[in-house]
Amino acid sequence: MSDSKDLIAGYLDDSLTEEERQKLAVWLKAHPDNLRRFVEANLFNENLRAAVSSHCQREAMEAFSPNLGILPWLKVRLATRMPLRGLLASPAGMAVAAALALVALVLLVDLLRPSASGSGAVSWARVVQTRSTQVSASTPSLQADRPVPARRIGLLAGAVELSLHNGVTIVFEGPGDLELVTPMRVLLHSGQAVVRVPGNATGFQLETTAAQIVDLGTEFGVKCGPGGASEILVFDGKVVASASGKGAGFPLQLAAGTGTRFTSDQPNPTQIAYRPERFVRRFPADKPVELDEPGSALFNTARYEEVVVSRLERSLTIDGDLSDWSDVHSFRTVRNERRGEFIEGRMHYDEEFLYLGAHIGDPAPMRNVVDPATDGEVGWRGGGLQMRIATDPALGWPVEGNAAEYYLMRRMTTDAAQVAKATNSHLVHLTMWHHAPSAQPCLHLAFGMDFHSSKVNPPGYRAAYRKDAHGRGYTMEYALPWSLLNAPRVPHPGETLAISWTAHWSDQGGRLWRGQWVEIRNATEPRRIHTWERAATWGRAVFRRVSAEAPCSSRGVRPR
Amino acid sequence: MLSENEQERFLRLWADAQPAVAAFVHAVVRDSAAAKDLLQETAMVVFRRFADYDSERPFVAWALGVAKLQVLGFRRDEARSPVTFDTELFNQFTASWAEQAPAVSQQSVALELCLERMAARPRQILRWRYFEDLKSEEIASRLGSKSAAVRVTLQRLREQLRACVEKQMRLERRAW
Repeated sequence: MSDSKDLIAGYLDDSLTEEERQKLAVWLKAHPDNLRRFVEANLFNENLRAAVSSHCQREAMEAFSPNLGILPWLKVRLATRMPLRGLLASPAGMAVAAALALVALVLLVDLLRPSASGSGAVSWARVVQTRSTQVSASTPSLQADRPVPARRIGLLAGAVELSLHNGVTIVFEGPGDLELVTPMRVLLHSGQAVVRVPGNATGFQLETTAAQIVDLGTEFGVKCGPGGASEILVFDGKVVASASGKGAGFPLQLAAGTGTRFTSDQPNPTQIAYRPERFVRRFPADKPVELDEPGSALFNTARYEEVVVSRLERSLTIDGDLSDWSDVHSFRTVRNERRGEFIEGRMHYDEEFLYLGAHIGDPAPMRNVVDPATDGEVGWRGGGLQMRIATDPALGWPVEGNAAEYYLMRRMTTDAAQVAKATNSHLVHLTMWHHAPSAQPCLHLAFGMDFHSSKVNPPGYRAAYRKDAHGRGYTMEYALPWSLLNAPRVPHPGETLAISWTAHWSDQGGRLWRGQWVEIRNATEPRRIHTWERAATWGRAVFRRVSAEAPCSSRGVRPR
Repeated sequence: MLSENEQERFLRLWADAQPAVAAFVHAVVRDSAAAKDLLQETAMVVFRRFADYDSERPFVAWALGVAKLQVLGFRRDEARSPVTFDTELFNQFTASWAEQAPAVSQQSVALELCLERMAARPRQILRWRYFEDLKSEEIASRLGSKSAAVRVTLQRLREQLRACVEKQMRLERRAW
């Protein structure tokens, strides 16, 4: 290794010998241009490191195609301001605040690490307002009336309104990933957005993996869903859209009041129903304080690790009334006493069905407007219940199987055995919600930790919802056929299946997710791991023959 | 203790400067775990000393100055020398980094586009080197090749990507 190029390459590859290091130092001192060249090479190298990391993460996520993983990032921060003024009022408070600030700072070192394409604030874009936003690990917090803090915004939940200096307004709804490239070009990697373009910014472009949309002075909404499929609804004016990627087709003009769907593998789009209510077009003028304050963090300590599922001795009526259900093994957990948010659950089974009944305390009950026909994979967003269950008793407990995100965030690669466990179709994710516009009980199913073979409202299940008389909660009942859950057989008394519940709450409009509570969770697993990313976090469902079971103090569940 | 406004100002400045500081620390320490620790320590010192920051100066240069001292301390404490530079050269290196970093950060989007266009095999080699942090010897054993050949390949890939990025940025400037 002799010339300067090789010495720099050796430094970047960590392969210099001591002698070569000395040579490099001599060369660097010989002329200021040499040092400049060396720094430039190092800067490019570090940029490349960031870009490759970002690329690898995206590539692996696409390979796994998760479509139900509700929150594709691990770490989150609330996009809210700490109530510092009160805290700073006393010397003791100041000391506490200083300590907290330092702790927060250490966390921020990790959390404020922007993606490769997202370093620094965007001077030409401003955050107008936020609603219940939670941002991803790579996105700095979003604050109203401030510049957009990074070019790429990962939103786990909630919505944000952005304004570009050319007058373009974007309402971006999570979960999703939006990249601001220039004031005239935006990439929507996932999630949904509504764009309003004033006359002077005609020609504004929004791109997804499946479509390119060029605005002709208008308002339109785009959803970039599972597999990159893109749905465009034109609310006002016109846009020109074309399929992108391999299936690139001729540009089409889309008029107001139409809905069009592009997929990445087909050049020709299909017409879809025009349902403008699927998108948040404008934030409500009045902000209901009680409901719009951000929910809680994504992670909670579950009260229960185990639920007893007792065999039915007589049939149940699925009517939204739990009075005919045994409460011997019911469980109850409170998320927020003041807001009246709680979960009361119970489960039964027989030869044909697994029964799930719940009474959920919810200040905005049964208002979910997420349409099962178009957005079933995010049905949880408007409030409801998710259950994850391993339906093969042979899998035992805890169950192995991790989503792609689990490995990605830890920079781990997978082998064939791990992928086989992750794609096991006996790991089932159920999302249950009441679709308010149609008054329909909904069910979304997905299988494996890769969330494959998803189904919405498949035939065979029975369900009913009933709102509490005082309007601050609801009761739900589901009878789920074992066959629908891909169970190889009905569990025998004494057998255990891995299971976990997550209740979700939304805003009053039934559209914006406000928070969740995970219950029935493996107590030995770290708290800050999502149940959707690691099946080992699921708790236990112990199947019992009712007659053999006597009520006990723990009422069949094991409080932690 | 900083006022709430000052804290917010600090967070905004740090969010902007952090990528350049993180890259700097990694470039000179060459060890991901140590670089992460040093970055945290740097952030703490920058926060504690924020009242001393002269807002007439670029924040990133000031933060890099703090990082430089942390790296020097690390070299002393660890009795190791990841950087062969003497103090004067290291000062010059830091100043040059502060000067060039803002311009180089503009490359990121183009760099991602260029990576997208790469064939699978070279992308895999980059993945091993930059995502999994493998040394050229480890990559060579995976490829059944020699480490010298891997180093040559990595150097060629960097050159190709640089050429691609420059071309892409020229195109974008023209389009804009």
